[in-house]
Amino acid sequence: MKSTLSTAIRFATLGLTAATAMSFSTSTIAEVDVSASAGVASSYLFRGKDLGNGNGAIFGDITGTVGGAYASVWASSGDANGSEYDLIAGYALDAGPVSLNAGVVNYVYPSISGSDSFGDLSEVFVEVGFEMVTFSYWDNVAGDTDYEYYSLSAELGAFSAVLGYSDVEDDATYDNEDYSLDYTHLDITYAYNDNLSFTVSKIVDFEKDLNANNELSSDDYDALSTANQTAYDSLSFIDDDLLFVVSYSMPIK
Amino acid sequence: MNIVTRIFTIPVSCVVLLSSLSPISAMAEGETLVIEAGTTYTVTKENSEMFLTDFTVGDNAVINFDSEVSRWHLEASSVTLGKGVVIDASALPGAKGGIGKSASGSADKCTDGNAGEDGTHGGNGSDGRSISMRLVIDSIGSVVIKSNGGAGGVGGRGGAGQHGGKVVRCTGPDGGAGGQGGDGGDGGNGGYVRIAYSYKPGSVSKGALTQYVAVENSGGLGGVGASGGNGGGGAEGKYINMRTLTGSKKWMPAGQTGQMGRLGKKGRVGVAGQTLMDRDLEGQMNVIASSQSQQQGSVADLRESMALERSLTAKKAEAAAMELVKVNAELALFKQQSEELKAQLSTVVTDRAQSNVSAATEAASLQGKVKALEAALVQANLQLETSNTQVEVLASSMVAIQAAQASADSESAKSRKLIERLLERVVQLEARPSQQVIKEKIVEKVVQKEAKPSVPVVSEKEKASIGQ
Repeated sequence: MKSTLSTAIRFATLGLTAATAMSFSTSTIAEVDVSASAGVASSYLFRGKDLGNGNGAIFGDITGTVGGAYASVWASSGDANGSEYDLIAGYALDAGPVSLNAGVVNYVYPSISGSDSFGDLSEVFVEVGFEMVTFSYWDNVAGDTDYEYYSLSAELGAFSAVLGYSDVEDDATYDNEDYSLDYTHLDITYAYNDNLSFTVSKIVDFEKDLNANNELSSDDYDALSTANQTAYDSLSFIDDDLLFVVSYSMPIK
Repeated sequence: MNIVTRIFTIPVSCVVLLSSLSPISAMAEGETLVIEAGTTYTVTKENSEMFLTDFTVGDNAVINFDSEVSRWHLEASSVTLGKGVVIDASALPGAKGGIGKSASGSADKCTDGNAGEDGTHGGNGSDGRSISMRLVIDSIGSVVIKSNGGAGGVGGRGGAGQHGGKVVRCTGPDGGAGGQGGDGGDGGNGGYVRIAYSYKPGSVSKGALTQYVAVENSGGLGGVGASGGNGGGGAEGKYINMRTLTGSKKWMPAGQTGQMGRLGKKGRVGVAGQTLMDRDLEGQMNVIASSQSQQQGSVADLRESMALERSLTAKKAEAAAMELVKVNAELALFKQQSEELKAQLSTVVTDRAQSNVSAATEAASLQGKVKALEAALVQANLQLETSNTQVEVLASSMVAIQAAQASADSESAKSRKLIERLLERVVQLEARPSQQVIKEKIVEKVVQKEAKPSVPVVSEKEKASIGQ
């Protein structure tokens, strides 16, 4: 069932992406609105996780919009895996209180083999909003790990909140047992003004009962067998510490 | 109309007005206009030129003008103006400028708002009405003439800019700029006021007219420039779901509020009007000519009166002459009677032999007659004195007439000659010795009678009486 839904969404998203491409093909007729911004953040926060190991990062983006169709390039100094740029295309539609947004995003890590080319790691997404509440669905359509991501977000003035759930298909195996890597996080952001924003993030739910989610001391790690050490290394440990990110961005007109 | 054009328009209108002034003597016989106290009289285009014989305005009356009347010319040969009279010839203000249309609503998504339309400029104020008057004033209280230029119209406010479109995946669109405020209209020029005046003879008002008439003909104020329209509001910032370093929410900045429209410029102040209040020399000349005409009429009347008086004098002289003729006739009669008496006395002397009684009686009769003659002589003397007095009066009157009019001397000379002849005749009459001869004859007769015993004695008193 899940597979059937995922396939349908993928086709729908690809259809929207095709429509976006067609919209841009007629950009000579319609007026293209281009916006861009650049900024810096104290951490690389992505879906409740600090991917930069506490290091700050810079970023920039440029987006062209024709009607509801848009295409964007987002680039950053990157996380622990190096620099990154993302290619995004989609179509957004507002119909009164209802908003729709669907598209595809391609993550490119030039320094990582297997993710350094267009299409290596991609997601499709669909967002449905009503008034200030939006539900999002993201599905990994290309890449090593099959996963899905859901979020429920809401905005109220300068505040926004995101409750996200990361659903990873593969479990981690440790000590001959499978451990789920799913987790739930909550982000709350406050835009102090058009440039400065503050975000707090916290992983609020994951499989804490499993020992796999407890980091071993170096002595305990050394005591493991080589196979377990390998399995241990493959585990994606979840840091549930409260994260605080400050970001400053400037629109470029 | 720019300011230069306005300034040069005034002299041209002045020339037109001055050329239209015609002397009062050339006026058509005008009508009488009476504006009751406290009422309002409106001058229309049809009576923008008025030529009146009598122009009377009561206290606190108001004269105003139809909008289509641009000038007023009044000539009146007898003017009575009360106190608190107002002639309101001020111009109308310029029209207000139109308000610029606002760009309503919000622009399309991710689109900046449209600018509001500019407000239109205010209309220029009208020029004050030109007023020219030629007045012959009988009496005047206090008058205020208002011929101020109209104020310029207020400029129209600029329209508001449109709100920026909604943020979708774009930086907030800016609001549209507000429309420019309209400039204020220029103030109208003050009206041209010219009053040529003179006072009627005997008028209680006198002196400079400025002590009775106040003129307000300043230029109109420039219209105030309107404020520009408010800029449209920029789109509100919002979160969008987008790749960021702070999660999946990106704050899209709000659009900027559109610029407010420029404030309209204030209009220029109108040029003050010219005021001329001069003595109307031409009118005064006309008044003097009229007065001289009246005086000439009086001279003619005087001449006629003098001629009448001369005629009366002539008649009186003729009557006096007739009286003298009568006196002469009486004197002749007296002479005849004296001759008859002489003859009678001769007869008496001749017939004195006749009885003494009859002689005495005759003597008494003669004495009575002598007394009667003496009374007649006295009366004749009185008449002569009266005639002399009349002649003297006539002579003095003639002298006065001669002094009043030398041109009438011919008639007077005749009268004088006649009077002189009469005087000569009177003198001659006075010089004639008839009375003296008669008296001598009578005395002689009496003396002769006294020499006779039968003749009654004439007393000294009687002699004295006879001798007189």
